[in-house]
Amino acid sequence: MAFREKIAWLTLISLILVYGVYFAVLGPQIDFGAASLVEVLWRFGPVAVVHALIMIAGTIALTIASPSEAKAPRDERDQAIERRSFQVGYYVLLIGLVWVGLVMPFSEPVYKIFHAGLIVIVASEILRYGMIVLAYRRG
Amino acid sequence: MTKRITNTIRTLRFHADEMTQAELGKRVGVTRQTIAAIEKGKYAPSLETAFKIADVFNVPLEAVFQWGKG
Repeated sequence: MAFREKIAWLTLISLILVYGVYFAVLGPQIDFGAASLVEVLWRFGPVAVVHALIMIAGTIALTIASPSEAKAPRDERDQAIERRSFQVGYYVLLIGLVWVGLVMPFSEPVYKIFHAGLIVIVASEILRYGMIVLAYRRG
Repeated sequence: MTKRITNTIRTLRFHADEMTQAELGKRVGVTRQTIAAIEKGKYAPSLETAFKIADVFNVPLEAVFQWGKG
């Protein structure tokens, strides 16, 4: 398996696990009616930090395992895969944020807008890395 | 039957002292996985890479890549 495919797997799995825990367990515990923005960020911050730490540790481990591949620049196929995946992720992000930013404020409470925004960002990233993994698997 | 790009890279590698995919990749500036994908017809390389591959084997481009029935 290529180094960049391993990184894509790492990112995809860590996104699903970490933000899955947030949206399933931690997010619903926030008392949005009473909690201030600082309190909300206090809940969400550690999730983002854990994700960052997993990515840093995983990237270091994968780099140590195959240093020459890690040093090599992206070749044309890597770039083509990233370009196509980014395009799909971008459209999902754009459509999602238009909904969250321009439609939801007229009908939904703030906490739903906050979480919908996060879901759109995470979903677009999961889709992007899912597409990258799929493209590498196809050959 | 639909036409597609086929190639003779596997044969050319065999005749070049069983050159590895990694070695070919190194010489044209792509990864071993990309050479494997090109060989299997899963990825169509850029014109520049196609010319570089032909150059490695010292053959014309059409000896490496063909447009025909896959």
